[in-house]
Amino acid sequence: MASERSPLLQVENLRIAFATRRGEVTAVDGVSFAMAPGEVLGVVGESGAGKSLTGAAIIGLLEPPGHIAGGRIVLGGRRIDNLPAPEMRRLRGKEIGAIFQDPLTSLNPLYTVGRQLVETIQVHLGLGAAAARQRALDLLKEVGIPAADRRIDHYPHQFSGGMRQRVVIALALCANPRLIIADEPTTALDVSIQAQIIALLKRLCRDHGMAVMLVTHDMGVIAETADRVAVMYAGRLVEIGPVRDIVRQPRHPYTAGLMGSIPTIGGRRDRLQQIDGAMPRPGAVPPGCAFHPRCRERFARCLDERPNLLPAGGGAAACWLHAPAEAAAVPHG
Amino acid sequence: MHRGLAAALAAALVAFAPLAGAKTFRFANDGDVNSMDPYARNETFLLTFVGNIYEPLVGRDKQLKAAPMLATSWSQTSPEVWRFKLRQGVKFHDGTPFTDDDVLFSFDRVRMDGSNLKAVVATVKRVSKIDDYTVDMTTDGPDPILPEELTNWYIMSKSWTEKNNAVKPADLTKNEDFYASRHANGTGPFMLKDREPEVKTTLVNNPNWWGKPEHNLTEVVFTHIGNDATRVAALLSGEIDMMYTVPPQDIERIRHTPHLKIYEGPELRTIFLGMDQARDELIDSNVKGKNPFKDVRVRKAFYLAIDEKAIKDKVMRGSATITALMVAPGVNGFDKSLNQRYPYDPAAAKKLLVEAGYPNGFEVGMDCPTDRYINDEAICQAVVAMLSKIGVKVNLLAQTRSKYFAKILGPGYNTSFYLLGWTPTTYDAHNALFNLIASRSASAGTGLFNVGGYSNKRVDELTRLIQIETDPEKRQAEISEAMKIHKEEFGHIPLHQQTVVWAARDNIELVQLADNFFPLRYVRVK
Amino acid sequence: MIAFIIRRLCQSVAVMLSVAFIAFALFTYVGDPINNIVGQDTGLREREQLRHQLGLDDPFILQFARFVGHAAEGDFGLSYQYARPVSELIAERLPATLELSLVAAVLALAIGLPVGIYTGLHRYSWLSQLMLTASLVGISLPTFLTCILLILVFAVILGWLPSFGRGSTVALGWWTTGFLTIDGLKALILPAITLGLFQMTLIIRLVRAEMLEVLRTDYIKFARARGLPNRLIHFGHALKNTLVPVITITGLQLGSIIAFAVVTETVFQWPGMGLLIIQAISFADIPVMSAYLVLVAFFFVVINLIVDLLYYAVDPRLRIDRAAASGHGI
Ligand SMILES: Nc1ncnc2c1ncn2[C@@H]1O[C@H](COP(=O)(O)OP(=O)(O)O)[C@@H](O)[C@H]1O
Ligand SMILES: [Mg+2]
Repeated sequence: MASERSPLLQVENLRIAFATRRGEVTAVDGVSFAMAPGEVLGVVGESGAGKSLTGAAIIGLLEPPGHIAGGRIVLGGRRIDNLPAPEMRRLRGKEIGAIFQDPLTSLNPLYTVGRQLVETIQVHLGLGAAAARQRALDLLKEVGIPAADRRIDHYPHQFSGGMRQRVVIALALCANPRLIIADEPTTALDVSIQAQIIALLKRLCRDHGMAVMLVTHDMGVIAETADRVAVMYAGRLVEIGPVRDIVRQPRHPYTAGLMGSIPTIGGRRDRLQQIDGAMPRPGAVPPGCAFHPRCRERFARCLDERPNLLPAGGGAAACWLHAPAEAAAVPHG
Repeated sequence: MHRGLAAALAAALVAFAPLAGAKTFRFANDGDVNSMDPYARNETFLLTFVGNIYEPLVGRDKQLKAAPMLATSWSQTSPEVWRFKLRQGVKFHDGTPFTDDDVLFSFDRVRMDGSNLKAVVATVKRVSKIDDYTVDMTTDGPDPILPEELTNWYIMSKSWTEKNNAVKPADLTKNEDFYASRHANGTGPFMLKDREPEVKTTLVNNPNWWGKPEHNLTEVVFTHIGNDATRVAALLSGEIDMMYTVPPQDIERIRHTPHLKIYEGPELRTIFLGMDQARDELIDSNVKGKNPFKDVRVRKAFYLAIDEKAIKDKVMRGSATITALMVAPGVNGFDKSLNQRYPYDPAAAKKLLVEAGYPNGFEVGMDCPTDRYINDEAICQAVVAMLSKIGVKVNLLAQTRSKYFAKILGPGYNTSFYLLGWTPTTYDAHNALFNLIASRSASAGTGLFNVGGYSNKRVDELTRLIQIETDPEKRQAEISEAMKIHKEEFGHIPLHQQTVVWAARDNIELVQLADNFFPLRYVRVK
Repeated sequence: MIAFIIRRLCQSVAVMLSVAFIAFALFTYVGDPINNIVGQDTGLREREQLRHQLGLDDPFILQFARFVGHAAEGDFGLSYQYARPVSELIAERLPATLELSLVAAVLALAIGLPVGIYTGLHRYSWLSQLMLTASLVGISLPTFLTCILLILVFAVILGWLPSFGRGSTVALGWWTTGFLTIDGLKALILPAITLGLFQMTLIIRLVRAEMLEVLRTDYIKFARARGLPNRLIHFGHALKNTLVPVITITGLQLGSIIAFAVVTETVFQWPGMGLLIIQAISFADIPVMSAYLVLVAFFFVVINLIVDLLYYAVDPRLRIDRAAASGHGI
């Protein structure tokens, strides 16, 4: 899909840091991307790559001592990374919804799901009690809760995991936000249910014209759901582009490794190399390209010069392999 | 609810409003009066408190000499008969007159099961009416000191106890409330107005008392404050006017506080050590096959090794009277010429141990209460340290009194070395000889508290003689002889008499007695 | 529900029986009451006779059986020390202890909860640090010392409050209350503070820790992500979840307040059950000790029951057996 359209979300040069005893540690460094309205952006990367932090920064829920140390976040033309807390609060749920990994723990166990829906609706839409309850019922029906008019008064523990994630999705939808951050929404679920939830998300996204930032480990889900993919490594965005391009022909050696370690929908390809070693921890990121210690294709420049996103294929990759000069010298493919 | 509140507030206000010219005296003790029944317990505080309400036939004056109370005079009509003339025109608090029927009744009641003052009239066989105001008491053999023995036996009203189902003293095996433990009807200078156990007990002046009051009190409020620091605080803050038991550590502080006064005087209670001389082998010693305490040299060595002066100065902070006798000055029969301690001499003690065959000393257990006498445990610790200097290793077992007494008292007498205190309840040396020093004999009833089993035939004989000797001079000679024998045989190791310490505000006038009795009839509030 | 309560009360009988059994097994070690009861001039024969009459020479199993038999008829015997029925003594003392414990508990909760919440929500504020430091002092100061300090300041130096006793009380039937008179209320202040202080500190720290814990949970994060205002999150979602463990601990603490009252009552000469039991122990007053222990066991059972019922009210997950009938998930 066209990212050239006037973007819904723009993240520019985002840097997230933690104040620690040993000074500031940068966990997300120079991440820039944009999302169009209604677009599904898949975000992949190893655990600890900075995916959740990026999502939390967008929704304004970075937990101290984490904070945005640089860059900008613009939503619908309005800069939101420096909003005062109350305004940011009003934005959350209304403009940006969120879905977290574990539906089992995302709901307050002591309140009925109806109460949690109604309070969210009332906070954002200012509806009366009856209208809010009606909307809550409609939402539950929309996310596919059977016998919603009865279930609305049940407590979270009375729902199964999949049903709970549907409730969580309904909660994210309460005020019809334009963007949803879905941080590994299916990781905690049974495999059989994962597909249903993803299908539901996809349908809702289409019906409501919502954009979704879908953080996941599952390249299969990405391939099936996302319009574009962003790949993160050690707090940096290493590759971004249309999903089909990247699945078929990853431009960054790390992405290639990532693809290799998971079965893809489009049948098995040549088995690529396993990536040796581990991702550096924040604060221990080597100079130059963060991936170079593990990269089989590294060369001198990778060791001391940090690559920015460079156009590659349909998207962009932060790899010196794609620098115009190098491209000529070291062909690949 | 509102009416209840208003009534409550009104009641509270009335309770606060001081009566014109009223003199209220508030005092506190570390223990409560356990009962209002004068036969409930043979303990000093109960008897002194209840003694403000009830009265005996024979009381004591400020010098602790026998003095007329409900009996105006007494005399021996024969060696075994004492005749008491009763005071006429005396009324109980409920208005009924006091007669010899009440004396006869009280004699029956004090001997019933549940009474703990049976021993007081132990020698009396029979009480008989001569006329309305004369009774004869027939004793079991001659009893020269009977009037002295009767001073804690208070007379109760026959008609009142009958009316209130209180004829019998409290029976601990039955689940009943005993009227007489919460109510009182005596002939004394004060009447019981209100008793809330553990909270407060209020007495009021008896305007119809037969005597001429020395006191000027209209009301007396007694409170039990068990915690030492709180009791002192209550005195400092003026919430009480007088404190009956002063914690030793606070004496100096109170003495130096303006408007407060310390009253100090020697008490009749003697604190002493005892050694098991009865068993052939001690129950907890490393000496096997013989009992070192049977050897008088060992007992003497223990005596000489103990620095009583140091105990008085360091442990008792000066609040004690050093003694060489088992009875205190003020007890009838006390002989001043015998009251010289053998001087502290650890070197001689060590030598005696060597002579006795213990050049390296030995090991022995010691029993000590922790909550019975002033600084009891600290005294024992000092003794342990002093004996260690002559090579005797003492293993101290200090425990709460309920456990301590259960261990050391008869019939088991399970101790080798112990600390005990004794006040002769008759204020007569015979009581100490009879209970502490005479040989243990169930048939004669002697030596019940002779825990170490000291035994001397001549002392036993003297004890019997003293009991019936009516000639005071001969009697004193016999007492002195018995005391001298016991002293030279080191039957016990007397340490000291405790000091009675009271504290009061300086607007209070009171009389402190050596028996630790506190008669309210001598108290004046200025 | 009713069945649940009845079941629990039946269990309580078993608990009280075991407590009484253990108590009797231990009484052998508290010493011999006889010497405390009789005067020093009482003869050996009479001592043994009294011991026999009171059944103290029986094996403890027999003493226990006799106690249970009588207790079942509501007869707890006569106090050796006071020669009065134990049930009457306890009925007399109970109001004092319960009123004191109640005020102390209310005080502990009324201050502990808000301070705990505040320090939980504002972890880094200087006020939180100050309150936490103060509470540390509260928890490390022995009750006895707190009592004495308070007495010294408020009774001796300032003379505002009484140093001992319960002031004047008003009788409402057999219950005596100090709530209705001014000096009764004044007398309550110092003992209630000392008694409540430790519990208050505990509640502060507990609520704070629990609050911090809850604030880290996913559902609070999710509630923030839903854009709920802080007020709703902190005092609705977070507080309610904090309450579950706080109820348990506070409930158990209420039990221990009654137990802790022993020290406070001794120092302030508060005429409650704590004072009674202390004296009973030093006197080896077995009837009072056994009745007290059984009663305290009963309190603990009742408090536990109330805690469970509160749980039931607060946490829907425990109502699962009832709700199961109406379906359970997919
Ligand atoms: N409070 C914190 N202090 C320091 N480092 C943190 C903190 N929270 C997260 N991080 C670090 O930030 C990095 C990115 O975390 P995250 O965004 O959660 O990764 P993921 O891509 O798995 O979602 C991780 O390496 C993590 O160690
Ligand atoms: Mg994550």
